[in-house]
Amino acid sequence: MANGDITAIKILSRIPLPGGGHTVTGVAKNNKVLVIGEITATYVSTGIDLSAEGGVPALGADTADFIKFSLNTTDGAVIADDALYLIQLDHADGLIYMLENVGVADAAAPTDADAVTLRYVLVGDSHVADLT
Amino acid sequence: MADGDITVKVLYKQTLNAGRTLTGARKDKVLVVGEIKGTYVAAGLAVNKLGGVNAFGVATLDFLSLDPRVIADATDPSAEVLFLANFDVTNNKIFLLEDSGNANPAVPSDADAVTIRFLAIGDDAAAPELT
Repeated sequence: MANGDITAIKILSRIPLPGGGHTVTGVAKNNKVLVIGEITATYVSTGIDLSAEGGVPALGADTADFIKFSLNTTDGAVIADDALYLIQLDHADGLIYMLENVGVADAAAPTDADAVTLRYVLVGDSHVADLT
Repeated sequence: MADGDITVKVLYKQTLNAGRTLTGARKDKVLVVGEIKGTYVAAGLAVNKLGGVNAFGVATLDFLSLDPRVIADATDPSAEVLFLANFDVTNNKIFLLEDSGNANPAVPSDADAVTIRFLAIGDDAAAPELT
């Protein structure tokens, strides 16, 4: 398995969010879902390759109206004073980027091949479409 | 539209049956996912001009998380150049950093177009409880 590959995506919770309302054209929009999950991967400076897993749908929803990551574990480092983590998704390319020393003068990405475990919360369109 | 001005689009809104207050009054909360578009200014994006947290669809804000997606200088975050967004709850301003991971993270340039997604939980601005 190459650096940047995702080892596993585990869905911890998937909650249908009914009653989303109507679009501006009056169409019912009731197929939203809230997903909490976990990604295990090996880091690479060019980003963790979510696109290789099929992009956002691999996380449990067809679209990501909102997504936020938190760090669970990473090799050789812990969250500490002046050494916090920042994690973001490049939506265009399906790549997850991390910084592991936010607060230090030169915040840096994790080292290539570092094992990382991320948790995420995602709200988006369910795989299951609205009834017609 | 002046720099710092924003527009807000609600993508999703869900009433949460939160329960009751200590005195037994019904207390429903709402979860809102939405998108903010604006032009940046160093003084912060002016959520205050849209009625403060009401702009997020809530009358009071219990929780807010911001996910900056687009900053004109860099349309997506990239390696060691991530975005960071914080909300000033006192003055109702959103502040951004666009180069987190560089030696000198900087705020976006004035007039940069920005897009930020948000998740807010709080009391529904529309006061959904029936009377």
